[in-house]
Amino acid sequence: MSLRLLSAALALGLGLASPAFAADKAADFTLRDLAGQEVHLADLSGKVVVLSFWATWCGPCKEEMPHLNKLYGEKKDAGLVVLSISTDDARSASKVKPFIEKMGYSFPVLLDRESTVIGTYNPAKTLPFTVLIDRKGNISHVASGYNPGDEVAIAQKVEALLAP
Amino acid sequence: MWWYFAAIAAFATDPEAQEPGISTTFTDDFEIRYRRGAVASPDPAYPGVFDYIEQVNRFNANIRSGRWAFEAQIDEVALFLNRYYLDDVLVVENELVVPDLWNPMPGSSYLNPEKLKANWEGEHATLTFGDAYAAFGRGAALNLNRNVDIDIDTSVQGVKALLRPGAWDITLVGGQLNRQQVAQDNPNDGIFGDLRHTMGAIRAERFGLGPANVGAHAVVYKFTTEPGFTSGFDQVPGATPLTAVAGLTTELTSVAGFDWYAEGDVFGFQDMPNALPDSKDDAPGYAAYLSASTYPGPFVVLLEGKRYLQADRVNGLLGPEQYEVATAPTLEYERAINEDTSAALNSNDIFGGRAELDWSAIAGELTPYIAMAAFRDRDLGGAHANGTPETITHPTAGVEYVADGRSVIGNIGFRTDDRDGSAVPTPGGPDPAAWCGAGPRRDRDRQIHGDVVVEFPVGPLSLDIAAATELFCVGVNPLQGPDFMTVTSGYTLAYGSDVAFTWFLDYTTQPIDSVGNLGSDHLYGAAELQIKPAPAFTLKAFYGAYKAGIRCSGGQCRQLPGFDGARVSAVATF
Repeated sequence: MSLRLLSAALALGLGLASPAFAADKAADFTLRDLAGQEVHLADLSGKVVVLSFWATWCGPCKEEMPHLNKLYGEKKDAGLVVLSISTDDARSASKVKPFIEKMGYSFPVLLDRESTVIGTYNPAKTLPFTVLIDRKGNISHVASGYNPGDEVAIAQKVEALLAP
Repeated sequence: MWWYFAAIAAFATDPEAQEPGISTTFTDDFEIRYRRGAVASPDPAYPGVFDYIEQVNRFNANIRSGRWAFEAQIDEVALFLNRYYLDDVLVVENELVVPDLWNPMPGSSYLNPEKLKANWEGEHATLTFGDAYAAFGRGAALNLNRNVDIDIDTSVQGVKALLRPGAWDITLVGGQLNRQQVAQDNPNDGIFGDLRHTMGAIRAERFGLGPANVGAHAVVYKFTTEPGFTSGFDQVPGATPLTAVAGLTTELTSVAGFDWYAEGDVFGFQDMPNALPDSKDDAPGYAAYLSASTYPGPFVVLLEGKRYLQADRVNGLLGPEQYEVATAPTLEYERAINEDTSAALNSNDIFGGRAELDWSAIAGELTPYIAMAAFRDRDLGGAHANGTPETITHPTAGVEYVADGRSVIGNIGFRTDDRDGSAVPTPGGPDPAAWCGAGPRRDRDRQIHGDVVVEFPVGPLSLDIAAATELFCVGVNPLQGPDFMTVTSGYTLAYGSDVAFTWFLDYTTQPIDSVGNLGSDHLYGAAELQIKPAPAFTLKAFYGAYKAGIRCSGGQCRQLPGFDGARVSAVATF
């Protein structure tokens, strides 16, 4: 029984983590940013969107964020939106804005205090977790974790999505 | 179990099967692990007699069409080799499910449709039917979050409406609490079903009143004493324990040079366990929290204060279920929480504050900080069992450096719990020959801790070292154990995100953890190989043992319980 389960799970993963399933519509959501303004994903149709899920306690997230901020600075005029989504829960919400101010990041920061949005995109809730959404609102790429060099792949995929 | 994998695979691998306008996302988290028994075998000839195999699977489905989304989470667990013969008698080692719990699966296996929800996302409203999460303010009144990263997941199974008329957020939520039954990381044993406590809550928040966002909320919890699907509703009219909470929040941006947040909550109780022995059973509680932050030049200052009296009493009946419905900010450095210091987190009579100064020495790259926390804990009950109130001081310092593929994130701290009257040495207590000094001790706990994560490139690879250490010196208190020291560490060599190998090495003298696997009770070792055949598909194979704590490998971090054995896992999103 256990071997069959293992085989099924592995086959399922190998068979389905393929580009054929990367064209799904991104789940819509509405979150508030640090200033209390509503951000509605559906309103960003026509833009290339990067959803970057993180938390103040997550080391790999802190390594990835400077790259996303740089990418956002370089490409926002070309139609890129980076939505940096904090999954810090209500107790540690006071730490989020000071962290962003300290690091001088310019991308919008949204608060997902109930983990509702990350629960939809990444039920395992591993951090960091990155989702690339094309101009039509389809999920183009997802990645969990961060290791040096991942930012190059993300930048290339964003470049491709921004290309006319 | 094979049937649902096969059915989903058949559906998902056939593009024609998907209706136009329907999008699907599936995530499957499968793990099978060989657990070494925590209890030594009485017969050296059969050292593995208490070992068993545990297989856990969590399947999440998300189906979207237009404004609607449907989500389901199905959890499954099965135990193998879960029995042995003792004097020719068959003994079942772990009772996976209590006999009274309905279970469609045979033997030592269990299947549970854990979460189900339908969500409608509109321009000015979000409606959720089924399992929803809710958190108000800073969490003192209500904080039900999807904490799967620490293997705790309790939702409200009912209805939630988030209405957004103009600058308002109005949240209404009501239903029964639905606690996760199948643990993904902790051992599954004695699953007993939900005590379906009933709750109802409302919050209204007005944004953009000049520099202010203001909110008000109310929450009522009606706790049931019996498991079962209907008992929660059946007992609503009865005299079962009840807690009612009402609170106000105010957030001010750039007022007098600071960003401010203030929250006050009052708690009323009926038939709830009294947390403080010298108070009346119907004594109310309250929680007050204030934070202020300012950003002068390259500096960031964060000030926080708290005063909680009988606020944690709301969680007083949830100990056996191992979750909390409300959790106010602790202001504590949570990477250094151990079995002793956790008592202060759940104190029912505590006040104090924390100040942190960060300096952006090199903008976006180098940011050292210093912080100081001080608390007065007057709760003489709970896990502390203190004879007198105590004063806690906790200075910390650290640095974050991130640049060009190199990073260093480190923290150190020194925490002191000084109980009143401790100036007079008390006879007895811990072993005077231990590390923390000879001779009579004051009634004072001391904790030195440090943690660091370093990452740098090594040719085409990257090396990631994550280590944490703690030295805990116990003051004279007969209910507390001896001094102990712990070191946890992980060393990861990664090739991009495709392949990562991690070697874990831990050391501890904490008696409750001392079951090491490297020829000593104190020393733990383990290795893990991670492969990513696709960006959202991760395979892991692990062998060895480690202590509980925050574990980082392959560019991800999670809070994990201790483990001894071998396991293989596959997580795929498709």
